Parts: sequence; C-alpha cells; structure tokens
Amino acid sequence: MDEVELIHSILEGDQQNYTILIKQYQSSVFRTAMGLLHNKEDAEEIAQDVFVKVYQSLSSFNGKAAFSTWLYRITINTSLNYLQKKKRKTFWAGLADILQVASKDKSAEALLTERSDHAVIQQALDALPEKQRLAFVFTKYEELPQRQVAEIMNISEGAVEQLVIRAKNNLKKILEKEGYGA
Amino acid sequence: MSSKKDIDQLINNFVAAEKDTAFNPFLSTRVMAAIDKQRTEKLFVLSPVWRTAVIALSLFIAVFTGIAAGNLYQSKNDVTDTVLMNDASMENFALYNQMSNE
Repeated sequence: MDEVELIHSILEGDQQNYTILIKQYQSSVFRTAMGLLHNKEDAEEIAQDVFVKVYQSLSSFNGKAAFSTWLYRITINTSLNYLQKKKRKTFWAGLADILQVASKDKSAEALLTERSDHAVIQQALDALPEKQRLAFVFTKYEELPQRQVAEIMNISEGAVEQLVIRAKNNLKKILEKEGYGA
Repeated sequence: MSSKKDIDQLINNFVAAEKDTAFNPFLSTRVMAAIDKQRTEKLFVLSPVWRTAVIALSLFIAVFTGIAAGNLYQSKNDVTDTVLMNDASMENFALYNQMSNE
C-alpha cells in the first residue's frame, strides 16, 4: 500500500493504518523537534502533538506537496510555538536564576568554564536567526536534499544554500567569541 | 572547555549526539491514546449554541417541574364551612358582655 492509499484508508476510518504512518515518520519528526528544542522530553511531546494535529487535519491535506513536506511544516510550526510559550514561561524563572547567580558573586569567566561544550553549542544554535536555524536542522539533522528544504521553507534552493553557509559562519563566530577554536 | 577543539568537529559531535537520542518506542501508542481521548471528550463537548439551548431547556424543565409539583400538593386540613345547628351550644354572648363590664 502506497502513502496516498494509506492516507485514504485512514480518512475512511482505518485507525490502525495511522499507526503505520506514525512509525514511518516518527524518527523524522522527533529528530527535527530535537534539533530545535534540544530536549528529549520536549521533542517527544512535540512529536505526539504533531501526529495528533496531523490526524485531525488529514482531510485538509490536498496532496499538492509531498506528505513529508506537509508533516515537516507542521513540526516546525508546533516546535516554534512551543519554544515561544516556553520562553515566556521561563522568563521569570530565568530572572530569578540571574539574581541568584549575582548574589553568589560569581564572575562571568567562572560561569563560562562551568558550562559544558554541548550547552555552549546549543546556545549558539538557539541564537541563530530562525530561518538559518531551520535550514541548518533540515540539512544537518535530517540530511534532506536542498530541493526538499526549499519546498518545506517555501524558498529557493539557492536561498537554502546561503542560509546554511550563514548559519555555519555565525555558529563559528559565536563559538570563537566563547573561546573555542582559538 | 578546550579552546583548541576544532569547531566543526564540536558541532558535528553535538548534532550526532542529538540525532542518536532514542525516543519513546511507544510513541504511536501514546498518539493513538491521545486521539481516542480527544474523540471521547468531543462527544461531551457541545457547541456554544447547543450549550445555551440545553441550559434554557434545563431551566424551563426545572421551573415547570416546580410549578407542577406545587400544583400536585393537596392540604389534608381542608377548612370547610359548617353551620352550627344546635342552639344550645351557641356562643354565650352573655359571657362577653360580662367580661367587658369588669
């Protein structure tokens, strides 16, 4: 059974076939969410949300683009919305942390040495502009061809290439500022 | 933190570590459970128009039932007018007259 037939059967009420579709794409959705959120629990929550949303709006999938392209778009929208909500939630918690750190009189240098390499790279990735981050995640995490990334992001293939180059350069700049590769 | 580390290598290691993160193998089960839960909840969630109609109907039924129940009530102590036919037991007016003269 091909993908279109599978979707038709799900729309006709065959719930069991949706499990097949989930298993086919769960790793892609999880990896994309992981690349944007850098947290296993959050990425799992997003993957679950994405598949529930997809099931509910499967009838609106018109088949003009590939199913995977549609799925990736839903994944990035859900992940970015989740990040925004999380940022708002953690604003006050973060402020409290800063005040706590300041009260302990720790120098910025001391704090920097405490952070692991992974935490620094994660922060550098999060600091990238949204489009650069998305292009980076799709090419590095998902290893998608530029053509598909361009389709998902609704931009030209050349623009994708430029975004990835800029993302890598910006990452290097940020990490050099942090003392890496010197 | 090593400042000598190659940045590209660091980034590649980071990406590889995140890519290799294992996810819950029961994701599909969780998704199907969430879909079923939402479907069940939807059955009990009414649209705003229907909700208003149901509230109005409930109110009408409550008032109507109240009125009907009130009308069903019949007092057992019915007061009936009686005519006292026995003159011998008629009220003693003389007694009242006596009291007012005291």
